[in-house]
Amino acid sequence: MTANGFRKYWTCYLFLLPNGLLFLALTAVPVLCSFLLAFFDWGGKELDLATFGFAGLSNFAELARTLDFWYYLSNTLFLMLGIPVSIAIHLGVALLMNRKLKEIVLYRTVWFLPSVAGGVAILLLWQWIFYPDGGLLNTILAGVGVRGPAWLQSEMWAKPAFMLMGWWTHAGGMGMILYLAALQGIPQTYYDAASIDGASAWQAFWNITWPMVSPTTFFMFITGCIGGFQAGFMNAYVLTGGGPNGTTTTVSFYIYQQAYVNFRMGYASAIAWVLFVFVAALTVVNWRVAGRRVHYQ
Amino acid sequence: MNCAAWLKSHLGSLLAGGTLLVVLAVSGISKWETIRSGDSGPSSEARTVASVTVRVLLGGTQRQSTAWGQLLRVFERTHPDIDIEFVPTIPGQTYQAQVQTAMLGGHCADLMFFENEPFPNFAVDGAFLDLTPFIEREAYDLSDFFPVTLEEFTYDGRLYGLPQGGGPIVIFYNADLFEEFGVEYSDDWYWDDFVEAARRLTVDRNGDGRIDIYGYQGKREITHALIPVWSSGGSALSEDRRSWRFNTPTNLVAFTWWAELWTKHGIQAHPSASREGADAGLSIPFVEGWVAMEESGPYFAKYLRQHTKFRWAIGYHPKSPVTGKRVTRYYGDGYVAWAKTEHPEEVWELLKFLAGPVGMRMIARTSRSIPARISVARSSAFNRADTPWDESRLVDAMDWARRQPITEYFGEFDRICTKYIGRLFSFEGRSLFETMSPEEVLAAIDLELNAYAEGWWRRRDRANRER
Amino acid sequence: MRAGNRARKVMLDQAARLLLILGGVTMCIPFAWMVTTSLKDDRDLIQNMSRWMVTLPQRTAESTVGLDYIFFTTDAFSEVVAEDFESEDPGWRAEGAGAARSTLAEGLSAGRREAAQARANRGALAFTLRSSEGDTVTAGRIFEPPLAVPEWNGIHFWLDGDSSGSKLTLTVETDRGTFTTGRPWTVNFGDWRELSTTVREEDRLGGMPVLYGAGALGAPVDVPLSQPFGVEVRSIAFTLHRVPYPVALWERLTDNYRQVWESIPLGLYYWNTLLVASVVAVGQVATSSLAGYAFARLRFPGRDVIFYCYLATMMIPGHVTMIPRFIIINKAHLYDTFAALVIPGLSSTFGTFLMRQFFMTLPRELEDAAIIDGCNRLGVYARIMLPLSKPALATLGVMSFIGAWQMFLWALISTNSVSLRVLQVGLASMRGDLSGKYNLVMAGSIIALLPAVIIFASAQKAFKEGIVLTGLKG
Repeated sequence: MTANGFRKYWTCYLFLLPNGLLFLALTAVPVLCSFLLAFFDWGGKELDLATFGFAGLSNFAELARTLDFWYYLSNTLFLMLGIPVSIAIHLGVALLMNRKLKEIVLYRTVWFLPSVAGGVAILLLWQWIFYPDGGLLNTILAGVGVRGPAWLQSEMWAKPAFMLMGWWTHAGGMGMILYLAALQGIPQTYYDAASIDGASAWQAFWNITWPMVSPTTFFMFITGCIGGFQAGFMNAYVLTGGGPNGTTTTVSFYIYQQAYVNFRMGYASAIAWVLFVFVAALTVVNWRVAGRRVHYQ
Repeated sequence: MNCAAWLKSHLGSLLAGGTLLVVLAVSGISKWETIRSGDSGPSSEARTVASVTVRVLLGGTQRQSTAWGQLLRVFERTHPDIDIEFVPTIPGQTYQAQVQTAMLGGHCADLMFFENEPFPNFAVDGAFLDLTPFIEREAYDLSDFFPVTLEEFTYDGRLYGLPQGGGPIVIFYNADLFEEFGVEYSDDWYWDDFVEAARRLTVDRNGDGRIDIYGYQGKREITHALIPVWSSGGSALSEDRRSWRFNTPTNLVAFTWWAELWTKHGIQAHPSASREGADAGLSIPFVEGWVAMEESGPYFAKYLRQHTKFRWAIGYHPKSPVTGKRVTRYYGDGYVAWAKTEHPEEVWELLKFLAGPVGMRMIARTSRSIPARISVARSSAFNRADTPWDESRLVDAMDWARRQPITEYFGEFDRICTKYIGRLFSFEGRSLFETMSPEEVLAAIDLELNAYAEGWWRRRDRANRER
Repeated sequence: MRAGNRARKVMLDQAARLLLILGGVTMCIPFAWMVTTSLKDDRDLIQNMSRWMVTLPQRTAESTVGLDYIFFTTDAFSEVVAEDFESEDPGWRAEGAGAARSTLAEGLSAGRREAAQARANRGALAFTLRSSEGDTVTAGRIFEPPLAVPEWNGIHFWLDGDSSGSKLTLTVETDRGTFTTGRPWTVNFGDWRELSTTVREEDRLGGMPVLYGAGALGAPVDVPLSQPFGVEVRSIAFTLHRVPYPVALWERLTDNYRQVWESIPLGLYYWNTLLVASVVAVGQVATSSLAGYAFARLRFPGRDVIFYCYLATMMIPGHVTMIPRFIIINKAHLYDTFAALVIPGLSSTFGTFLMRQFFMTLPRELEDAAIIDGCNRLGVYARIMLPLSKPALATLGVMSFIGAWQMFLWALISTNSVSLRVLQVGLASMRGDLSGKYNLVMAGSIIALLPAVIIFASAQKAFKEGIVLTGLKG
């Protein structure tokens, strides 16, 4: 880049500077370190070079051989199936919250409570709800005459239980807030024009609301998928310890176990980077496919 | 615009600002007071003679417990040149991670409380101070410790820590239920007698078709499955600790008996129906009288004293018909020192104190575990006349207590074994996994565990060669 | 036509209201459980957890407290048993209006009589207040000769109370003076409970009382470490106060909250967390919006590459980057400082991504108009883009505030001092101490989340106003 070019662009880099410096020091460098670590064996207890054993590709080879990893990956993917539902719930609730009701602040606060209440308390709450005998959910089901399953202690129902938990906890959470902000940005004039033209509520939604919030939808879908691959740690950690027979262990929990229980930092990093390949692939696909449908100004 | 309208329209901001101010004020005052009174342990006063500060990590609970505070104050009184500083820590599942990052950062505490399970992983990485030279130098008498407690903190023939105590797994039984159903508890039971008794105690009391009282509740962990295995003379880990042999005929017989306690005899509640109590690891069913026998450790007794109204007592596991003997599992914790401590001598003094008679008597007072010193365990400090249960039963069980196969990769060992043990049971609805027979379970554990162990030792040998 | 629209709007509003209320109720039920759990006594916990019941103090004509044994601990941790109670032991005397000494079995209700029989046979002490509220009874014993307790450092005893909410204080007279408990215990449980006292104020564990030395003005005096606490005990006395029922009720209900407040310095944790969260929120909003604008609207070499790098780092789980990050902070000598808590949170790839997407939705015409008018990039950003992005900035601010409020693992390993602790770590410390006492955990969680919720509720104003884009599209 020529000096002239630099002078032309220096303001741009200035915008980027505070964020970029911190990013470099505290995000990019650790990420690179974890990449290098994937090729070593390290116990994580000392920063002595002698304790780093060069492992080459053996961490990756071991990972490929470990059937459990692929099973945990499938657990993670299964849990990610709840993302579209979650996005739909967020949009639906945001539409409700966008109404001009007098007590809307009350509703927003009450719905927002679960997502901010502090992870462990909410999780304990759900543990009670999901108790096979006497938990809230099974009591309600018994009242209707249905024998509820063992939820968190049942192989089949543990993951759906987690999905349910996620939907409820975050129904009024940050995703909804994002959608709300986006909805606030749609000028009322559009809707007025539509109603003058005689459009129904559904048509107004599909033709005005949906395209106008598509950037937010796109954003939430991308971050949802990226986050989804790394999710499931807190649930497993607090509630099930990995679930009956490993059904609720996600890759994130597996990484935690390998890194901080087995103290195999290198192996854990290898898992993380294999995961990265999957996430990156999915993100690229998402970006291309969904990105085309996003309606920017 | 009048006042009322202005207030109303700015209500939100006023509320936010008001809350913020109140919280800041309250927390500011509280912060000032806390700082003023000092983040203190026993050494909050100015000590003119102190020359060395030993940093101690005893786990959050113990830091704030009155008993530990008292004990360490006694130490400071008798060793005026040593200051003790409590390192704040959060107990729980993240304890090892905190210790590990502290070591990594170079600011680990000098003396730490440590559990038996993660101990080998740290010991093999050289994280702890080798105490053997100190012991040899002054011919420190180790004979007063239960041998099994010392084994927990020995690695490769060298001692890296002094034990605090722990307990053998025993069986607590509900004497009232036994009396109600006319069953007599006996120390000389064999496996069949035990199952028979449990069967007679598994009862549908109110005739509604559902069993209300179960005869037994065991823990579905591999270390508890090893109890009948050991009793039959079997073992799982090879002598050189490099390979596993779960699937042998002796082991299989014992393991099958253990598994059938759930799957065949119906004397235990199905795993999916279990419910944990408010205190981790403690069981509501026994406390509420729905279970006649439960296997647990000494800590259970103190809890039972507070929360139960029925009579209960301590019993032992049944003897194996193969050998006529019984073996139970011992678990215990202890104190270790960081290998890179700057004050090894002072830490050694503190270690001796904590593991000495005075320290052990303090442990005995908390009644949660058996003190590691035989003399203290058999004295009236532990075997108190005023407690309704007989502590000497617990101490006697130490004669046949054996420590679990502690491995350097305990997390993985636990994960693999738990995974396969879970396959013994068929869960409600369509189970995702095939139920496995006990033999298949043992074979599968052998397969996967040996593969892992082999890889682990290969890496370790390679690292040792390169060093 | 207009009227029809209005009617439709009203109908939709009502439908929305209905759904919001229904959903709100389901949101609230679990919180109701949280609140009732936070009010529970320890005994309520081990019973079926799905019960909503909270034990309240009872209005009884009599209030009884039983003592099983009492012993003093010494520096050698050998115990000096003060008393082997015998029911008829004349050494113990009870005084006060309506006081009566009874054997334990007598003093307890019928339901607990069987369980107490064994203790009664062994001879436990019970004293009963058979009078109305406000009365006091004292049961005490004078040791003649004084009990020799070489260098004693604590008192240990088993106590049984009923559910009347009475309070107990303990007074001990030694050769070094008279000591009394700083705060009376509320004896409101019906099961035996072990209590002990010690001589130092810091050694508090959620409600366990401490013994203070009574100074000249009756103020608590800290006993210096160098002096032994005493060598002989001359007398001990337990005083039972019957408090008015409303007071007993209030104390019972707020007991858990007070325990939490006293056992951990919550005020300090609030201060730290507020500070950290505010700094992080402001920092993230500032850096993310700057960088987001650059990625969205500015053109410079390497823009897309850098952005994809940002995105890529989002895809690595935090567990494996935490250790390298820790090492970096450590090497920079920032371990155990406020900076260590804050700096990693000042920039956020997620926030940058969010702001970039948002800026891309704003119309270019506004900027073009401003540039034609001679505004430079910074001016465009400050004067045009920022005001328009209030909702997005507010959203990002709230998100980062909440994220920092809930920070746990990083705070745990990057700081150590209690003076730098944040709320989640503080709550975890309490949780560990009291291993699974859900009532206290819930009380702590409720205390922790309340300010955040109030602030959130009040920040709604930023969302109330929509953006009005004028003069762009007809």
